[in-house]
Amino acid sequence: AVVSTQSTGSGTVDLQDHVTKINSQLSVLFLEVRKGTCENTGSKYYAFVNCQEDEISKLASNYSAQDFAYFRKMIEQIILSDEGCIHSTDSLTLCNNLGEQKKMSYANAKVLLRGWCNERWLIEDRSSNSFQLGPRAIIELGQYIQSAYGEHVTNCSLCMTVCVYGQRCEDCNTKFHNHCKQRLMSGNLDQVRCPHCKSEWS
Amino acid sequence: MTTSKRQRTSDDQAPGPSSNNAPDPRILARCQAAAQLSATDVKKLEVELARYLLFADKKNIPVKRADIVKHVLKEQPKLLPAVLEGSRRYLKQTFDFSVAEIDYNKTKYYLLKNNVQLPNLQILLRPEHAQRQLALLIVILSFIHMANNSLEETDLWDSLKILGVDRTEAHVEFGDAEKLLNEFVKQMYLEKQKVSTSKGQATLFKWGMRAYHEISMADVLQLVASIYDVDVEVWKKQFSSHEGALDVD
Repeated sequence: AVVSTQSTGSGTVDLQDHVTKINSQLSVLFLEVRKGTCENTGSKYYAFVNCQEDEISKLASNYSAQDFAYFRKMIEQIILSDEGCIHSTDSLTLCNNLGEQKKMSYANAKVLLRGWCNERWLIEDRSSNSFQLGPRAIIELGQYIQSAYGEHVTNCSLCMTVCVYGQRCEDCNTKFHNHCKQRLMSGNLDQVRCPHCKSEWS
Repeated sequence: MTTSKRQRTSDDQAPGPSSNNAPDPRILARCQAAAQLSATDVKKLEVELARYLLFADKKNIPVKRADIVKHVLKEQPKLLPAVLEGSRRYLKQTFDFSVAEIDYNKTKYYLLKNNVQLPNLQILLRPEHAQRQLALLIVILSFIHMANNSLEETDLWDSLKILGVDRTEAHVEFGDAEKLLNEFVKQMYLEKQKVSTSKGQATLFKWGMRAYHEISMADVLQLVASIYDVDVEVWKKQFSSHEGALDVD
């Protein structure tokens, strides 16, 4: 499950204490409560994740091999794209190209996409009609993304974690999460400069 | 919620709290007697079984004993009682879950039970679409209960159609309603029985083993009574059918 949190001063410290205590019990079961931030909204999330992929956890999934193939293709396209998102129409054409698995119908794909949005694996951005990685994908797959796509992904220069969807400074080419930059820039609306190279942000 | 005693169930009596995560010496001894296993091996099995039960619970389908023996214990059934005791300890300490063992149709099933005291919280912790499915399930169970636990398939669908759930049309919330009902059967909340009647083959819907275990018939009758705004005792037959079977917790 993925839960969003609202940090309120001392309330946050207590919550983190509890999470740490919980994790000390969970670790023996290879489970963890992990923190992360949604790249789209900037909201903070906690997710209950499985740390060990084994025979047992594979049995747990409700998804078929074909569903997995489609999901892998989706996140790959999103990660490899410049903007960190994939247009809705492109997401459907991926159905036709699932390698060993046979083609999936668009109707089936739509049902899966809706389910993945509900579970926060993906986020649908209605304004741009595209899909991004949701908080669950960021939290559960962060390490996997780093190891599998290391060359293609950049870290946010402010928080130093993987940044798939964010802004890029045209001059120095560093990348930032929208929410990281927002937090830094708040209050300085007239002087919008790149936090890294200080050139004016266009 | 109270549970009816219809099926024999045994919840765990967890051994006393342990200060570290090493297997209980008695459990270890039993496992080592059954197969040559070290303490590390036993602990690994206890963890795997605990994980297996957790993941199965996520799928909402009760686990068969045979599946545990196959997937976790690698075909060594003698290890089950001992390893299960250890897994129970982990689940109880970490989540306050207990493992219920249910006998049904000569098969043993295992289910996780959340010991959180507030019953409403248990429902609210589920995702929204699951809550709505649960609402439909309760309605179906109440139909079956009012029909004295045996409702013909066609009658059930007629009743559901009145509520806007059609067997043939996609429902705005539930989608393929027939598929959902089959899910309920798979999850053992409902049971389908094929019988031969004078008019030919018929399919009867009954309460499933899991419905008896998790949902109280008295609560369901109370729900129906509140909708009709009458006293529960109005339906004498249904009321007496479960009056004697209630656990008073």
